[in-house]
Amino acid sequence: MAAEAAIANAAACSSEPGLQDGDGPARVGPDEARPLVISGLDKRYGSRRALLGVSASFHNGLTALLGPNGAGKSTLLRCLAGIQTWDSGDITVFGRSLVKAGRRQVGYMPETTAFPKELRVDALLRFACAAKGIKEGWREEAARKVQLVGIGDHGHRIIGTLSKGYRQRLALAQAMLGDPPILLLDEPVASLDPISVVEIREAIRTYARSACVLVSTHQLAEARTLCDRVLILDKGRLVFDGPLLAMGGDTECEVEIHLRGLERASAEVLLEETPRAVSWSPTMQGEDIVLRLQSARAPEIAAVVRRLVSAGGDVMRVESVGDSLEKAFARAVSSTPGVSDG
Amino acid sequence: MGEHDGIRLRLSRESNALLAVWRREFNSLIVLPQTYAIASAFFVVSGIFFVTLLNTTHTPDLEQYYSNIASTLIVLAPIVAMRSFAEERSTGSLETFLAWPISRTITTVGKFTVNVVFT
Repeated sequence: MAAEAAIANAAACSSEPGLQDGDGPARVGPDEARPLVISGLDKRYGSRRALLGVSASFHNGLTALLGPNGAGKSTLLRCLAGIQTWDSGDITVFGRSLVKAGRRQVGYMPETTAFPKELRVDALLRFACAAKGIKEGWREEAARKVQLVGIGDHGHRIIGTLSKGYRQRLALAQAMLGDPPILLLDEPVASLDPISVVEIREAIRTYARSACVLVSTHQLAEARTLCDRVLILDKGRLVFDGPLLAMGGDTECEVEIHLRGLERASAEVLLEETPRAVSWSPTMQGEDIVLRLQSARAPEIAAVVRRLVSAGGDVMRVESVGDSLEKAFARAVSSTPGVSDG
Repeated sequence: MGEHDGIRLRLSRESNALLAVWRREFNSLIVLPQTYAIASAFFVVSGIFFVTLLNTTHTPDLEQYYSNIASTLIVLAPIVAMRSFAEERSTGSLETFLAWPISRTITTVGKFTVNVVFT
């Protein structure tokens, strides 16, 4: 399990303050293969503890960072981006300290996508390229990235005249400049229209095939659509690390089964034999019979699907409806013990 | 890679970063209306100082003029510097800026020198 690996890794790592660690010798070992490893990260703001022993390791792919307001998501991202120092623990990028070697390896898109309003888009990207050490071919690199995020025709516009959605795309483009192997995105689609959301999700997915992408979001639906793995922070602690489906566990949920090839009457007869805990309400949607199962657990849903298939029905899809994910999320964060200040 | 190559590479990176900060700051200064407003205000104030001095002393004594005009920098310098740091921080653009791999020393030195040249 990733969480167990992270805990084991945390135990193996030193707990010296992160920024002083940067001048030490490069770490060697299995961490070199991992783009990003966080080990026992602690951060305080005065007497308030923002991060408490957060440990996780990442491979290429998309990971969602979830948590309620004030959970420490932005603090963690800011530490990973090198903007924020931390009190103890370690962040390594391909086995080397973030401070020593990592900042060129990290692209960061902050939640507040503000840029100097007076600059033009291409001037900002030129500066970003220069800052990231991209001297040769910066024009081509900038053009590729603005094309990727869908603002290819807006390179000569003044940033102050861009809409919020376009500024968000620009923030994503600057983060992707130079193809950093680690990409940190804070609410990447928060201000976008539905069509843009689809485009940007696709761009992020494409990027994540060859990079480690960490997406901080409040929206569970966003995490469900985009990410394979979820980290949940609450009160500065990492309370869940695993695949999104595992978050729900063996909980009751509401599902719709879209069925073809069976008469409605036959389906009703079959379903009368289902356990009492499962209620059902067959309705027609086009050619499909839609069966809604309420308060069903995974084994019960599987039993119903098996029964329908064995009776000759074609199960077109099984969709989770309702707020089962939200309930699972609430359960994950409500079990976190309170953090004492000081 | 030898030690000298490493130092050379680092120096090259730092000088490129400093050049990038200068270019970006000058770019902002050139296009911002506030730049021209501040410069105009400075010329008006210095003109008033000069004319007043000329009328009262009837001698073109630039030493006294410059000593007076230096005091206006006490007001002017913070106004210029505010744009560089405080405004960027309040708008949030400093966060993006700091995430780029430029050291804070280079950022500060770059912004400071551009503001000194402007004032």
